[in-house]
Amino acid sequence: MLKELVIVGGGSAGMAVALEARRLGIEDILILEYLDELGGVLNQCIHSGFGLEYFKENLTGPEYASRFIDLIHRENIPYRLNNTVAGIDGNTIYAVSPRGTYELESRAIVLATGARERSLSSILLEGNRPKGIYSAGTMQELINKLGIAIGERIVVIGSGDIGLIVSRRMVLNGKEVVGVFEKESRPSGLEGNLQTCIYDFEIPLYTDANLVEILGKDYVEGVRFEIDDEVLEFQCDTIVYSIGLIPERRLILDQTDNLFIAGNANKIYGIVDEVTKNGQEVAREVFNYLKENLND
Amino acid sequence: MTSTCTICPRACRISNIDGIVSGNNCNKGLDFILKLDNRREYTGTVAVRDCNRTRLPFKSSDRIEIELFPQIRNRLLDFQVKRPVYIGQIIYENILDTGIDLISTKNLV
Repeated sequence: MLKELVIVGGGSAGMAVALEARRLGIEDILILEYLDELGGVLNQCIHSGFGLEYFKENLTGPEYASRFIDLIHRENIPYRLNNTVAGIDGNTIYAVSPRGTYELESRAIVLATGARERSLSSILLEGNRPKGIYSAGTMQELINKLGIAIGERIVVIGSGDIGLIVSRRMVLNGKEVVGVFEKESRPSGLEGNLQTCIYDFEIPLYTDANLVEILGKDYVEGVRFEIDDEVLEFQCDTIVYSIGLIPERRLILDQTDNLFIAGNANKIYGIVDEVTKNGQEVAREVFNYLKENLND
Repeated sequence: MTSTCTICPRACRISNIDGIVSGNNCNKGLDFILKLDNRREYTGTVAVRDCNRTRLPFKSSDRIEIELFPQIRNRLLDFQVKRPVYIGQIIYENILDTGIDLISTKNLV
């Protein structure tokens, strides 16, 4: 079965590609999504601040996603949930569904796989790797989607927007955030998020703070930071890190002409509105490619 | 709310409408207007009856005093919604007698 366009990932980028491709007249589209719903990471970003550019409205993440999910349904664009793409080779897609593995052929393929979080182990650090260390995205998913809030005294490493937003979320869930620690001399999140996530809740913010050591053998017991030439120790039972995103494109082994990349899989965008716009641009590239290669 | 920023002589007229700030020319102005107002939008998730796989996200229909946030959380600890729920639907009326409702931000069928 040869499809015209298969999109790997049903988040903001994938849905934008699908809708714009359909608008341009591409009929035979399929979205493959590994989670059990469309919307991607937006579904766990339950705070507002999305859509100010694209919709001129202040929406929460799930609301922004729903606008596009509704359009996907209205346009009858097919998608398969719980379907994980395991490999791409030229026109062939190898996927896994709950029923087993299968192959698909597609003239064009768009990788809209978003980003993954940079791991704390990418920081060279001496000492143990005890339990109780989570990425901000994982913590956000556990709290917002599953209602599981881990830890009581939490240290947050990194002051990007995700770190700030998750810090507030943990405080709203009754946790103590011991501090947000930033290695640069200025916090990296937006000023508005600093106010509404950190200053509003009087969370201590440390800049020029270099992580020296994680304390604890089996479980996290504390951290040591070097701040202003002084090594300070902070007790905690949980560490949350938010130290950047990496485009998720491990599926690419070979950059063939029929393979396109959209959204955060291409580069990390500051706001989702830009991801949507990029998805639409990629759809136009796909449309031109399919038009020029009609006889393939 | 609209106010004149007093951080510098430029004196921008800054407005804050439902948390969307405009009229400021720098981040200090943003800070200034947000600090004048101790009300913020409250978002969270609540449990869904007969479903342990996902929770329902919601937002407040208007901004609420930050001091009330812990009480809102406590009030919702044992609260569950029943499916189906649709975007815009009120899931909790008049929380803590503030006159503010909690509104679903997701369709869950």
